[in-house]
Amino acid sequence: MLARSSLLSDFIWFMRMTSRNRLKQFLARMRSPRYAIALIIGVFYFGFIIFMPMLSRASSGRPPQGTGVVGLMRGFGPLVLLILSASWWLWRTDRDGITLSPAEANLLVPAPISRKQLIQFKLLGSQPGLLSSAIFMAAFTHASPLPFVIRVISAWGLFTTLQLHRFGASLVHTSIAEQGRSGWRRVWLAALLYGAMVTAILAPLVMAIVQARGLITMSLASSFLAHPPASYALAPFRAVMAATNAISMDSWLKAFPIALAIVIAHYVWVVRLDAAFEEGAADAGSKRAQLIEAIRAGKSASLARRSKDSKPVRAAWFPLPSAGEPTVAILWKNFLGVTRGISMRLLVTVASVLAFIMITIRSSHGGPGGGFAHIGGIICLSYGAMITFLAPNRIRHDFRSDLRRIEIIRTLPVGGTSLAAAEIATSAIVLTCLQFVLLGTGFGLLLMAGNIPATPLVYWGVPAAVLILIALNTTMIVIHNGAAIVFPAWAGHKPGGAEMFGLTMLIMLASLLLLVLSLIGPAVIGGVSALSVRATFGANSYIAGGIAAIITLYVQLVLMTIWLGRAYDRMDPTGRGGVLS
Amino acid sequence: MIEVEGLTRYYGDFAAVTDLSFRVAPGEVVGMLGPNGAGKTTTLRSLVGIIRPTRGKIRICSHDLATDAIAAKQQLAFIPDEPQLFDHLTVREHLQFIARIYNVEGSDSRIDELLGELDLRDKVDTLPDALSRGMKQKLAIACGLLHDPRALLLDEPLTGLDPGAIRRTKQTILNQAKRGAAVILSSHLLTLVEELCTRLIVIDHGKLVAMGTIDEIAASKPELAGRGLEDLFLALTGSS
Repeated sequence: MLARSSLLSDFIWFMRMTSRNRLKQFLARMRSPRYAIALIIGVFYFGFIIFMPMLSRASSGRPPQGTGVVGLMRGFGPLVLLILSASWWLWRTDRDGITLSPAEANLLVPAPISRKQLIQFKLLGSQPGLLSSAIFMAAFTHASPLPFVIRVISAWGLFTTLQLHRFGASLVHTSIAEQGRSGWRRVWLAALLYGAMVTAILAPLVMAIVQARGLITMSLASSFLAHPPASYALAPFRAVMAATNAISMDSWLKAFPIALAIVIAHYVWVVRLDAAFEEGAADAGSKRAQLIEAIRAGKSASLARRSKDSKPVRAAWFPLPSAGEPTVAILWKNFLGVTRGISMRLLVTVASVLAFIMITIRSSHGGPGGGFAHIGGIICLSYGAMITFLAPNRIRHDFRSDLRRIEIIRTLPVGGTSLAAAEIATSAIVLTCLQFVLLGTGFGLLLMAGNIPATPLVYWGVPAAVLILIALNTTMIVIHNGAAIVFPAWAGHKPGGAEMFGLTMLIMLASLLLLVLSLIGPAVIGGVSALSVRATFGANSYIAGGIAAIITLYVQLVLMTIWLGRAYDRMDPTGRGGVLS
Repeated sequence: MIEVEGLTRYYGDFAAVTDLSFRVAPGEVVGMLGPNGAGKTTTLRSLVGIIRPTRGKIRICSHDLATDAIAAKQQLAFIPDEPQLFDHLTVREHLQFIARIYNVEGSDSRIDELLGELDLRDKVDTLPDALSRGMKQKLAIACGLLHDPRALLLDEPLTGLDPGAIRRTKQTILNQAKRGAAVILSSHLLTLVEELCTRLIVIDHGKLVAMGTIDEIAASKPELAGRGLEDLFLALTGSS
């Protein structure tokens, strides 16, 4: 039992043991070449993307510019903090409060530990995560004039304040709910306060947008936030970010004591709040544990949340008669998985991100060349092209998800090749539909903007591109499924952090290489065909070559699917023997 | 009919099952017993085609599982100890899916019958994650029984079931055998095995250590005359 007098040292011991055991697990994983390679690639990725710009700036001796992420933080950081705190005070969610893991709920809540000590334990336990986030933020803000260590300390102060504020808001919600107040009666004061702040910011901004006929730039919006009345509303949030946004050591030395005082004040406030948070925290922790387990097992997060919330399930969108080709049932099952995995939240998020990107580009590149149709068209075409390479790793309604239920799938009376065809078809159809929506929208927008000439060549190119894209998408899906079948252990549990990034990148690089290799045969046959009919068709021989290449691509695809089915039939799902010979 | 000849399965150098041979006739309920790690699950997983044996032959209703897998699998059902379900199919949709895969004629009435029999009518539109462990097990049992299999293999089928469901499931297993199915039941619940099974197969360290009725096996251990299955099992497997 923990002695009350040494609780802090016990908590520190607990964290030390946890860290030590995690390190042991990590080192044990590193004995496996796949994790070691994945880690090297992941570290290289983080180093290249995040830390290299910082190191190159330091070695070049260039003065810090204070642009990019730093500029955005200075201009819009306080506004983001306002939005975050408003969401914590106005909309209470399980995720905002203190969460207790199932082990903590079962072992610590019944233990002779006070509520205050439990909060201290959770705050202490969150420090490693906050510190690593601070390190990443310091790396991202390499354009700041402050030294790296100072940036880490500032970011730690900011994140700690935010976490304490969120916990505090949640505890206040819990305390008010204990008094029997709910709904509007619980949030009216916060709503009035935040309503006044938002009005002070939005009213002049909207007027400025109207005056500028919608052509407001980022710098103009930023300057509005820096002047009254918006600056008054944002003053508390500017104070929280003052150390992070300091432009010199002198200004940092003035700002950091205030930031530290805010952290301490928050800490005192939170540990003095005496709200009975245990039940909600245990419930939230249990939900989070189940969600993490579900996501680790490859389930869709939205589906996992929906089933836990007992929300109604969308009806199947096409019926499945009991008689007929059995593989249709596999397609039916997989398509239900796709549609039930898509949530309105996901669609709104994607649409919002696209809209934000368009508005940002439009705001920073005003003028006729930066029209919404042009920008939207370019974005849609870019995403449409990129998803051939990126999406096959995400769209996994095929063998990759069904291998988790090998005890059902393997006992079904369906042949390997038929099963492979049905599994591949689902992901390929979803990927292709998504891609065609993006490419079609992009193409249409660019035609509208007059950026694409409406020539016969363009219109003839479209059906050819459609045929090629279908084959390329399907080939990528076959490659990813092939990897899951041949190396089942690779497709299973994935570690977190740099290793996960590395593993994902490794799989993407390998699949890209295999895609290129799979195109060699069709390209050679297409080239030879074009050359052989050149004397007859002249300049049009490339059409014959293209047709030959496309036919070869599809024949190759059929052969790859047959191979995949046979590999599945020979596969050892225990992962201890790979594909049996 | 389930026929097994010389079933052997290695994991690397480790022999999980060695030279196992037995037959289960239509209408028989055979209990498969053994301590943890004896090779029961490997045997069951081999019998239903999840893993391929290193050596040996398996025939389900005269269809070789290696060379005529689809016909063999059409006749069998496997209910694993941990119910394996599709996350995004509701209870009814699971049964519709299985009906299509096995081409079950008149499946709607059979589905309704099973939903009623297993007390799942209130849960027809529920996803598996919102079901309790027992409900999931009932759904797995319903999926296994929908196509009226001729060979039924069950691995700890009663885990998580309430007393009412346990009674109904036991009756269902017996009914399935009466309809001519060959049933293999693997369980650590010796009372269940004693109650339902006509014969026993006892495995230890991957090898067959005893086969026959309880009386036949007991006859091989005269020193345990008059003692129950538990003592017999412990003596056969060297457990204490």
